[in-house]
Amino acid sequence: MNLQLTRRTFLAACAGAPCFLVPVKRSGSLGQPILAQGPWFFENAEPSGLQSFRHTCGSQAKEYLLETLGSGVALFDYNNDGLVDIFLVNGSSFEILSNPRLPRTSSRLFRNNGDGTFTDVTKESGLINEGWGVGVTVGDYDNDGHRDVFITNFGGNTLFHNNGNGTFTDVTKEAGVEGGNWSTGCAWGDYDRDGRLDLYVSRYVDFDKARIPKPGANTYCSYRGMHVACGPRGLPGLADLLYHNEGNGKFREVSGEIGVRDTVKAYGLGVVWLDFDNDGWPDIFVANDSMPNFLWRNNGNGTFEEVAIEVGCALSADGRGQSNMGIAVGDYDNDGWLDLYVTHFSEDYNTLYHNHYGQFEDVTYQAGLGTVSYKQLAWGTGFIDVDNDGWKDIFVANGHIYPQADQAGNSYLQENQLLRNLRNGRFSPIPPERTGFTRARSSRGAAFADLRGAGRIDIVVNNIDDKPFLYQLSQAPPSNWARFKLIGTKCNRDAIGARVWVTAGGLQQMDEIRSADSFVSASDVRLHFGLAQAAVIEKLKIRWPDGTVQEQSRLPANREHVIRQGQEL
Amino acid sequence: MRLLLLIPAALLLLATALYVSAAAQAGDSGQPGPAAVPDRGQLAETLANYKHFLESPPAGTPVSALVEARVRLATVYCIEHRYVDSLNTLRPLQAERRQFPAQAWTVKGLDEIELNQLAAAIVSLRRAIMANPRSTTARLALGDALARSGRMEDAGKQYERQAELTPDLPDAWYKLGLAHSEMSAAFPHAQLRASEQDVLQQLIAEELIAKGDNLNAARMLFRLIRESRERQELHAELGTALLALGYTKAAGEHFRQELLRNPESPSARLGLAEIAALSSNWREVSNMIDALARSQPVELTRLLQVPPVGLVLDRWNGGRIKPPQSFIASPTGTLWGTWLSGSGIIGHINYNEAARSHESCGFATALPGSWLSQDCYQELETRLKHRKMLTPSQERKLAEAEFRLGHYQAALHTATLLHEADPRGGWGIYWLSRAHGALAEECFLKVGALNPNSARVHQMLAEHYMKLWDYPKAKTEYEKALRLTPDLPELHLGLGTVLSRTGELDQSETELKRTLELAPQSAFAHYQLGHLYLQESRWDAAIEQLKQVSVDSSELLSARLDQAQAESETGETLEAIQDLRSVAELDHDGEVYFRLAPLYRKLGDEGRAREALATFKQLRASSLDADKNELGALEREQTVGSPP
Repeated sequence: MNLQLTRRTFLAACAGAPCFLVPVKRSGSLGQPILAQGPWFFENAEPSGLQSFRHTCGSQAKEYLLETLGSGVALFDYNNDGLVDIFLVNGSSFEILSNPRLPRTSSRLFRNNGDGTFTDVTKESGLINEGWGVGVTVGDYDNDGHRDVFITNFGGNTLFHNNGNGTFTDVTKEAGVEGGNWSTGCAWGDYDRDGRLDLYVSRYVDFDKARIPKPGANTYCSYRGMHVACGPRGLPGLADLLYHNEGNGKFREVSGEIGVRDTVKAYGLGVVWLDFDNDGWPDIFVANDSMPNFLWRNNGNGTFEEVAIEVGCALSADGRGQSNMGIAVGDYDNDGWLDLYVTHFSEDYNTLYHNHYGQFEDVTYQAGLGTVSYKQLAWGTGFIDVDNDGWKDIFVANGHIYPQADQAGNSYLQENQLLRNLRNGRFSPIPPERTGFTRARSSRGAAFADLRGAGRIDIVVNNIDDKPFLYQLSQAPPSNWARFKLIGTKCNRDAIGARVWVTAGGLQQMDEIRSADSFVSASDVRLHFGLAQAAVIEKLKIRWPDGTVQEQSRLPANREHVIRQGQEL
Repeated sequence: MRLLLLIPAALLLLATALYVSAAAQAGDSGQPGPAAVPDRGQLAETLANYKHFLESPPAGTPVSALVEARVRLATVYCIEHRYVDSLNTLRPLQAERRQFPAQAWTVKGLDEIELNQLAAAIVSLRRAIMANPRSTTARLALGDALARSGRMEDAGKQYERQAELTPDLPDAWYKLGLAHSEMSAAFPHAQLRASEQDVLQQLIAEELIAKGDNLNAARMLFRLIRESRERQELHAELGTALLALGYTKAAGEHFRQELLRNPESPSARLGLAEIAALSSNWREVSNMIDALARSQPVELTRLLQVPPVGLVLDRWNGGRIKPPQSFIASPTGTLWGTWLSGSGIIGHINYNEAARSHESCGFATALPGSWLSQDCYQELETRLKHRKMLTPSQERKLAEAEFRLGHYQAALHTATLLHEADPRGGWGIYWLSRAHGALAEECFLKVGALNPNSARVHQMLAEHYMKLWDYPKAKTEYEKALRLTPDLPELHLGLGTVLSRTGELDQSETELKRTLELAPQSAFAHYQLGHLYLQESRWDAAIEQLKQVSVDSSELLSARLDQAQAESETGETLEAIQDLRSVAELDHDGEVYFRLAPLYRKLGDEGRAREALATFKQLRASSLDADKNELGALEREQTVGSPP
């Protein structure tokens, strides 16, 4: 065998091996973390009542790609009681779909009881999605003050209208957002700033079971010599969809006419709306599996232009298209520009794209992140300030898609990860015994919210073919915090797309309200900021989605502030 | 022969030794042991002497001596990885239409392989063999060139021929093993008739069991059993997988079901023996093993090469299953004890002839895959081989008989005929794959057996494990090889590479540095070390190493890309741009231009940044087009052979 590997084959040759697992030498570490010495998080799904949900995603053998993808999770207040509820998307199986006599699987809605427990209210709420569910996004598309739920499925998507009385109605057909075949990511955003939420839906593979080759059938059906589920390469893709909200409960698919032309039919997964160039217009980033990402720049005139390669977030530093899955958006270095962290397949690194005046640069290795995710196959992710120090850390949900990974030098079940922001542009992985993420599963979607209203970020993870994780901080970080719930009056009611700047203790932070991010998941729309030792927010600035700006000063820390557009607190 | 007077004999020997060393470095050794280590000083001196001699040959030097000197100079260049210089040195001989000596063709072929000019290499190496049919280096290199061109079958023939010529040379067996292994995995699934897809599924399940992936094998076999009730060995294989997973009861049921429809199934019998041992039913163990030894001695020998399932082994080693003395003293007990303790190689099992079964063979009714006794297979093989014409079902059964009798080469031949007669039939491909797999196994066993104390053998095994991503085993083999030959740079390079894969970066650095002490010109070692430093953000150290990757190295592009990244990190933007531009022509997928764009932007040159990105997109589009063609071909293939 010729040892002389080329650079391109070098990474491939590392496939599955614990390549570069030794952390690179660092400088400028901030020393001990703020949190206590014991495990930071404890896993609380069982006592909280979430363990009655068990995700289903095809057979255990995972012979088809559809059986490997898993599903997302949404955290939102469905009944406006001020408490964040949990919605876990469920998959299905070919047997269930083809045999009407078999019991259906369904996604599940859990009501937050406010005492640390949750009650399954799926049946009474009518939020019953019995398709092969993948992704979810939450947004009040008709501005009636109640959050509606859109779910992507294999076989047709569903839109549930929130009736405002704790129940939902399936309005997919009337709304015209069914789509077709295999949709994955989805996110609400108001691209034309008309005050109504539009909807982006990414689609993956034109999946026809009868035409899909069996494991091992060709080049795209093997992993390190093992016969595995085929795809996505080698399978036909599907174009993404962008629905314009027409304002009467109906939507119109407009992608082609406004420049969102996915002519390559990329294998779309995660989707997020963000204003990457700070021009006040929401842009769309799509993580494409095995292909360059899309960044649809909003031209501000109702049209878009794809600029991912030009602005440097389509590919890795060496120009490779990666297997892009989930997306975290956040200003991790507090420089006023939203950065991206994109999760990838195993034997590759998750990429940190630093945003420098609207131009992205892959700074993964410089940030100390090149070596920490090599063995992991990563999905859900988010920039979250775990210790409330004002600097966003990174959470990553991991899990392989091939059960055969266990025989190929990797693991099907993998531990989730927390990467601590060292406040100098670098991150450091926290070992599982410190994070408390010691139970390995094949995790997929992940979402973030303060479920207890205690100023601590909780994490919900949907595990494929398994029970979910609810990670909760063991003790409150000894730092201050603030949360903002924004209510739009001229813009969309949830203020999705609003940008908030918080200045406290001499540090300015910024974030945007998003309807979905991570991997096919939706986190709470209320924005949470860690304030470190600052007890007062010196300045709060809000740029509402319609462009209007509102400012306030001297707000107290450690509470939730509800702000209506145009009104003083 | 004034040349010989001018060039010291020692140098001539050195050149020859170095020539072999070069071949060894290219994975193409002409001798069993590790090659001599070239000394840099001597090599430089040799080069200078040859060059001087060719530039100003003494008056009256015969043409043959000049030719020889030129060939040797080219050889030294080749050893130094200066392939272009080597070819240039040989070029005048071609221009003068002089007859190339065999070694010149060989060196030319080796140069061409390294420069990826495979078609030319094949021509050169064929000529080398025509000139010297016994040239080991040329034949193995020809095999390599064919293999790299995707002509694995032709490559296999060359390696096979070499193994015949030099049966004690591990390299030939190793390469032949690799070729068989490749061919075993390369069966064209999509061309099968939909009705015969399950044959391949069974083959895949067998591969999974062989790799230890019993869970997935069991899942696949469960499905196959639901879909193909008539197929033989499915229950036995499922039983084997389930037993390995610890499901003894279910495994036992499947073994019994197999015996109901396939009474001679060796796997079922052995599986039942293992289950019986777990419940200390030694009578049943004896019955099963005895029956198997009488009916299938060859297959039993083969089965006992594989260790027993973990459950049995654990209990045996823990003393929780203890056979009675009567069992231990019996031939079956001896065999069993040897197997369980792993204390010795089980030789050919030859039970008393009189005790062997002589039941009616019933060939005509035997289903494909349904086991017969060894005697019946022998009788069947003899009978069918003497027929002038065979029906497809007879040909299938012949391949099966030959394979199960351990006549893998004959099975390969019959399976090839079967496949050629019915390319969309499953059984031809099944036996082709199994025969190639078995032959590969035989070759690798041979490599190990030829000389277990040979560093070269350990090196080859290490390389084999590297290919399988089995880094711990590769590491062990490299370490063994290094204990035997501590100063061979290839071994340090190999170990350094393995260690970088396993994340042992400090040790990897040590090995790579040692490689460079022994072989300072090794471009790959410089690149590896530079790349390692880059991962550790040791920018200056990375630059220092990467700069030393020579311009004719196959690592040049990778090295310059890394170097530019390191320079960009240290603020040397102009140098980074210069380095990238120097390798732009080598880059076919646009990475150089992709990296140039931000560097230009850093300098504030937006125009050039846009231009670089445009070039990148153009190059990438061509590469995507190639992808699209590939995808199109795949889709067509899927349409033609869509699975059930």
